Amino acid sequence: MNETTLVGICIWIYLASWVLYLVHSIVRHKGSGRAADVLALSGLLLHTVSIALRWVESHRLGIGHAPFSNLYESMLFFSWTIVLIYLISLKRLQSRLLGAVVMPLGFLALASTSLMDREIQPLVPALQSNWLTAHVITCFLGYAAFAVAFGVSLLYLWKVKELKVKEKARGVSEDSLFRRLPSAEVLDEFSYRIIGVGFPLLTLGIVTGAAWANSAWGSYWSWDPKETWSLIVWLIYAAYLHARIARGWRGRRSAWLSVVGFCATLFCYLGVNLLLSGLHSYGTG
Amino acid sequence: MDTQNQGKNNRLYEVLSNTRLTVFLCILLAVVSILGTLVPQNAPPAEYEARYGQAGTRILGALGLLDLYHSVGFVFLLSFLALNLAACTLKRFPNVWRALRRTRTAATDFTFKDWKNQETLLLRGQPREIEGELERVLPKFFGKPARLPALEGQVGIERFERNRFARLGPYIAHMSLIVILLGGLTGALFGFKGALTLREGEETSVAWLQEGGQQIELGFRIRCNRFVFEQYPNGSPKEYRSEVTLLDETGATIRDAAIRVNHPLSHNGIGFYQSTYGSSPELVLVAQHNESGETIEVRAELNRPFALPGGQGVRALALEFKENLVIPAEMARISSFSRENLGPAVRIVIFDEKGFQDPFWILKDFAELDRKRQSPYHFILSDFRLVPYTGLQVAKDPGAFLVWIGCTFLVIGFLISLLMDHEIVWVSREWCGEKELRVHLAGRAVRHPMGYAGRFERRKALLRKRLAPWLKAPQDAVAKDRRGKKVG
Repeated sequence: MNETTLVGICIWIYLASWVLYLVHSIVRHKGSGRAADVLALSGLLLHTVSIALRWVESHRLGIGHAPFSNLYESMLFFSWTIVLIYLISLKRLQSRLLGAVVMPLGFLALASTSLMDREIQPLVPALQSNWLTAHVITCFLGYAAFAVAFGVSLLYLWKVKELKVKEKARGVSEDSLFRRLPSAEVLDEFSYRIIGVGFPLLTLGIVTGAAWANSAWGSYWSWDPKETWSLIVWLIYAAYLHARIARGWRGRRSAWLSVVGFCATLFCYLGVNLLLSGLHSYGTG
Repeated sequence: MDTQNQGKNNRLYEVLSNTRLTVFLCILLAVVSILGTLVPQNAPPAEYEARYGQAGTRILGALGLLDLYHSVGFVFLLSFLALNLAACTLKRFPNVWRALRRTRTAATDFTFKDWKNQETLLLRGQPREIEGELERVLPKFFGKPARLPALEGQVGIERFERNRFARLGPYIAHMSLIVILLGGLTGALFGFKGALTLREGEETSVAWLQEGGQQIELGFRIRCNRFVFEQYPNGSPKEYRSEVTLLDETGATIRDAAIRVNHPLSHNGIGFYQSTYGSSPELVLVAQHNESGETIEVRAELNRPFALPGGQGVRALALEFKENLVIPAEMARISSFSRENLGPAVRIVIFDEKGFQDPFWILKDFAELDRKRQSPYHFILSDFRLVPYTGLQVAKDPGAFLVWIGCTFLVIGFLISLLMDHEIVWVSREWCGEKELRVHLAGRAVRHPMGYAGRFERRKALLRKRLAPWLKAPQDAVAKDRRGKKVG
């Protein structure tokens, strides 16, 4: 049982979990909701084992390093953090409808690794740093929080849109899906809390990245596209956090900021490496 | 100051300290920053002209997009955000500070009437036992008590609070941002970024600045004794290390050090970072002036001019060296060469005050070939040696420590804001008769009231457990309203 096989199984488990969450959302079948939870959790456990296996394997090959050094390893870790933060959020928010919008992100992230080069490569000198591990872990935990906030904001926007529709129709809501979603207020508060967790993590990620850049290249900030995009993401979420106390920015506008913020996060992670060039271009390996 | 000016100043202050401005500036800065990632920054002019043409390059330059992050507009936006930050803090902080220092708060009937988290407990038993237990248990669950004067009647009210200083969290974080910006500004104004290359055995006291290409004196000398390069079995670099010695102006050794990637050397505030490496050729050339027959042997390095024999004031320099010059197969066939790999070769150019002549290649393995070239001078490449060199980044940043302090407190500010919340719980105790005590609790959290509800419930349950020996049956408590007065 090696890492590749385990990851392959995980992909299918996450897919099944997502499908069951969808079924649970649409058909209101409680059993499928519980099964989806169990699948997500067991998938995460297997996922953890596969990351550990890769770490161990790298040591066996004599080029031991924490599995955070290239695109494949980072995506493997990112999908792990998404499912982890999702499961924690599920416990706090108590709404399985979150799974229908967030599990697909975890599934797609992990599935995309099958297109990538999985070979364990030794670390070039620039990557031989403890800052690397801290930087990758904090950044991706932050990204995962933003991914969950993205899902919550989508649910919020849908709920608010439906509220408006029902107001106009003035009829009694027959839509059980609508009623089963937590209230717009709860969703809004939750996305604020989770971004309130993700934002400091991203800040730590940027700070550890700057410390690493300083030790490797003598400059903690060089306006490299990757660095700049991480600042762009940071600014968008800073705007989000302040939008709560800024008149007229609460509610729908904030939710859209959260959605845009996650798109910017994805571009920062993938778009910069794959479409632009700079110091971070090794990440395409 | 007349009232009109004062009115204008107040309005300006109101605008500057508005959170909507913060939201707007953050988004604007984000959008503007995106532009700088789509256009290469500080690239050589040739690259811009190739991408955007001359006219396009001029437009982009006029808009400041070629060096966006150091442009006046961008710095202005950053400063504006800093100003907004400062104004917002100035506006809100005094109240928070006053609230923090307040130690006595009088409670009225309405202080906590509308609070969502409330609970009434009815206790029965020996007063001393109950009071004793309450004194032990309440601070444990709800924080520091501040006893207050009793209101009318026999109600003694206590205010418990926890994490009062959690409210400082956002202010610490915001001030740290300003410190970080100040640190960045200091570094930009008083620091420098440059580079230098050293061959093994070479020493220097200057570095070349990244911007502008000028030299900068280090104030001491650095000599590269050895450059070590290790590879993994698959060929990718494993480690490169420069073993250097720092010397003062008299030549005395200050210290020895090894510079590796991610392990820089620092001296007098100047940092040396292992950046790159390579090998530079050292050539032995024989140059002959045909007319006079004069021949000289030259030890040449790339791009270092040397005088040619014959006393004509003519000089030459080596432009390029290849350990093996390869020509296409067809060219090999039609020429006199019997192979494509022509061996070591150096490209030389002759020049005098009239200008540069056309450069030409000299091949080590085909020495006689140069004779065929029409020129008063002929060359032979008799020997060469590849000398490894190390490329070091050299940087000085006096603002860096400010930035790190700012980052540390930024993280601390976040942790405080996130993990701690200022919680306030009011507890009123009213003795009804000799042995029955009515305890009423009302609690709230300042920043995250919704999250607090769960915590309050848990502590309520724990409190009931602890007070179980004296707790009256719950049915009795239900018949009373929130303030414990009998209803109906």
